[in-house]
Amino acid sequence: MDIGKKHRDLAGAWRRRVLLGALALLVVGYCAAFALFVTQSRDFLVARYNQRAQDFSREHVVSAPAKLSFGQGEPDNARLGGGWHAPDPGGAWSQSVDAFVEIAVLREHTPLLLRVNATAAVLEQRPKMKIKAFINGVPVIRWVRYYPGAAGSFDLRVPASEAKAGLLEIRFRADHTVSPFRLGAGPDGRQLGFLLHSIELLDDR
Amino acid sequence: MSRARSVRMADSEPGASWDAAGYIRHVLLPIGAIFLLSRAVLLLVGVLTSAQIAPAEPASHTLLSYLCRFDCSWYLSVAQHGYSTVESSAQAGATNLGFYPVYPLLVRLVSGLFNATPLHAAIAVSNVCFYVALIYVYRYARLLGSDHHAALLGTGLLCVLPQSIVFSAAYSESTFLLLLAVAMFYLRREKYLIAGVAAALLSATRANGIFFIVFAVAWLVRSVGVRGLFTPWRAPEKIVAIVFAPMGLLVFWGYCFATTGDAFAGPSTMYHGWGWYFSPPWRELPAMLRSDDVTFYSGLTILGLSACSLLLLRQRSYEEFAFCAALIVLMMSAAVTGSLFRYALVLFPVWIALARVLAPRPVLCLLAFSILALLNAIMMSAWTLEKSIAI
Repeated sequence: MDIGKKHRDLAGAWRRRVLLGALALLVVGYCAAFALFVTQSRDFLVARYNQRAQDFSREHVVSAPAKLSFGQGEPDNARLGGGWHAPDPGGAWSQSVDAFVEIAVLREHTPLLLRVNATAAVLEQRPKMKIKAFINGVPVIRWVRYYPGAAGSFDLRVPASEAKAGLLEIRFRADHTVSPFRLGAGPDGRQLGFLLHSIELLDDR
Repeated sequence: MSRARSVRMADSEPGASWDAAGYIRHVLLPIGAIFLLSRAVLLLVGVLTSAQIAPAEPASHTLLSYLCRFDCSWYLSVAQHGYSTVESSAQAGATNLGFYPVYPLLVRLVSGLFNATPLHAAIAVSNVCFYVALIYVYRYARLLGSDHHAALLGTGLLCVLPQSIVFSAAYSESTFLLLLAVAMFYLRREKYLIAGVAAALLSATRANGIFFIVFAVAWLVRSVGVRGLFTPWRAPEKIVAIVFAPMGLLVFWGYCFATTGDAFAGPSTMYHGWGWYFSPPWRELPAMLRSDDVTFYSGLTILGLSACSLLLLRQRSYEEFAFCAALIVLMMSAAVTGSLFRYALVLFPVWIALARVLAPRPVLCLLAFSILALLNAIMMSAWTLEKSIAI
């Protein structure tokens, strides 16, 4: 056999192996980077809106009994963190599955009950919605609404440990959002979760 | 004639055997003429619109100001000041992180090199990219088997399609078109490294550039079979472009992660600032067609584009069809539909296929060009007046 050809074949095989190795390394790098991005990223705008709401809430501490109202022109809108549309008359619609409200309470107020008055975006075409609520990351309730009973209220019993922390970050997680227009149920093209009317702070003693 | 003087186009473009002067006379000059004429007519429409329909507007319009509308200021802000998390005062949630870096970086480079204003540099980059892209579109058409006239017609179509003004404006469409054409051309020519580098830059120009992978995989399957796809060690050079393609996007995500803590700052700002989100195409398309505003025309555009893309199947350009179909589905899934006209423009394989159908039918060709030119003029007026249909 021609020795020159043998050497060329060998060199070609090595080149292929090196190239394949380099490409495999790149793919592994992509996967690692993507995993890091997915697990560690936080929506920077939601983080900013939450921070803004926290700053406002710290300057406007509330004590039970009190009622925080949301909607066009309401001063308590500033307590809304990320995940909300600009408030409408009568309430603020959640925009994404996660929506945040920041409330600073007096530390001695334990135990505390939050009564949430809301209307879920349940439609004939999508008649069921589940909403979970978390206070400072602790799950406190699961609320389910069925069409046509969209409006209602539910109570969040604030764990004593969280009430003592002073700042309550309430995270509402809807199982989905809907666009009435896309479902043929009206002209509103926004993605809607639920309409938050108010949150009442009640003494739970 | 010496070898050095001959242009190496002949081997890539079946039937073409011009020397350098012939290539310039038969290809570069006609493409340049189409390019310049179409731009001049569009600018004239802009000037007339401004003078006749909106005479109350300040008369201080320079000709170049017609090339800066809507997203232009976002690209210029990236080029001038870099990325920032500061939101627009007029549009909550909107930041310049929604605009991918290759085009603004080119603008910055040209601006620095030639000491030009960012707007001048942006327009220069766009137009140079568009002209070179047209040449590559011509060459690609020849590669697919189009004759000279059909290939020229394809470049002509790109110049007269509605909203083709964005190719000359301070927008990233022309850069995207160039990189896409280069990546596809060199992949078909089996110049894998060039194709890979262009593909990597493509995904850093617009996020949907990542869909080049669909084309590359389809090409790979067609050239080496499905088994070849799963045995990359046999010819690893063939997957270079596929592996390189996501690099640009991942680098930009990495930059966003390092600076904002949110790798997906682009999609985040598009969602909060522009209302962009994914919606299943089977829900989105009927909603578009039900709409009574601009969205309706977006739906019609998608239907027309889908119909034209079927020509690719008829012409056995399966890889190009797979790529265009993937991007059309993506367009159908965008819950904000204002910009679909310009997203359709960059799908040049569709326009090449249409040109191949029109080329042997002069009457139909004339009719199609007249209608498209008229629509383009209307869109140019809308662009000049900053109507939402031209976003």
